Amino acid sequence: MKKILVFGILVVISIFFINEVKAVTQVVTWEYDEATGMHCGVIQFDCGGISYGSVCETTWDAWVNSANEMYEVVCG
Amino acid sequence: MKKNVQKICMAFYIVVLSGHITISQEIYPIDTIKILCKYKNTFLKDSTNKSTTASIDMVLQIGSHLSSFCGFGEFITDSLHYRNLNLDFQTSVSSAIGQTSGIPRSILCNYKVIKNYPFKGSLSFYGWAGKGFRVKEKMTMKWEMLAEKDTIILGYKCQKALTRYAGRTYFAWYTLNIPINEGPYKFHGLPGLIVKIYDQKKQHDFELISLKTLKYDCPIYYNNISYIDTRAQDYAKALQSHINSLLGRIQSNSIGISNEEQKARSIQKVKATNNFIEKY
Repeated sequence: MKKILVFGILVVISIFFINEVKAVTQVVTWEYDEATGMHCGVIQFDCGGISYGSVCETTWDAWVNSANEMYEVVCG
Repeated sequence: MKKNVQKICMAFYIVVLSGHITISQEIYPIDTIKILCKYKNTFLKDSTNKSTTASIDMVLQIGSHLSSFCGFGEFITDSLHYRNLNLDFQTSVSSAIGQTSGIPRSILCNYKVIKNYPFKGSLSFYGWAGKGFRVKEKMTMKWEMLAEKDTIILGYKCQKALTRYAGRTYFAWYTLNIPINEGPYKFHGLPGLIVKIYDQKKQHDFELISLKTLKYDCPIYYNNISYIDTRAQDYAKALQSHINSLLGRIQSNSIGISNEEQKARSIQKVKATNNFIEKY
């Protein structure tokens, strides 16, 4: 019984921890400009304070690279 | 005659359609991983300051006819990108960012090196510096074999060799236990897998931390975006200019860091990013 309880607590802590890690970065606004093909969005970073950065790119690769780079600059 | 025309039209449509698919698809598999090597890349961000040591995990994916080397974050991101190709842009991007943002990366290591693709003997470096750049090279790395051969790394008996590349002298430990002419970054050309390689000043170090032979199909992906073809020297300039631009964006609050202390730390961190692996 004790083992099950400890295991349960560990699972809950793990889920909480994973969710915390995932919640660090999220896209909070999004706009698509058909004329330019630009996907623009604002990303929120939560790492010891809330920070924001905006990204405007036309391709998936460029968007993700810019966002990850900003994460590194702000939180890394 | 009519049948011939129909056949020609059919062939034309197939060619056009397959061409369209290849052109429009942003990412697609080019091989499957046979051996997956994980390296710890330890480096100084600031070449003048030893307290700026950082380390990130990078992966060498060895396929049946090519290899691809990139950061662990990029490795996961590629897989998510391909898996989410049917999703809309926003959902796909948000999902990838949310799932990979915690993985350590570095502006200095935001690249991919693909060897023996599109043909045997070619090496392509794909680097990010605000835009995607590509540097094409030939695989011609010259090595000097050294006498030391009594070191064991990760259980592999290793021998030492030396090479000079892009302004640095490197010492490599390779193993004949894995007779593959491969290694991290652009390094290759030894009779066995490079298990560890570092430069003479110990500013850049790649060390193998795990090796797995895959028995299931795991693709090696190619990002089919429009790259700017350039020389390695010009990529280094573009990267420096991109770092300066990032600095400007933080200072002008275009990247809005709410906490002043955190902002000062970010500025300091970006300013001190100067230790490019290739020196020109």
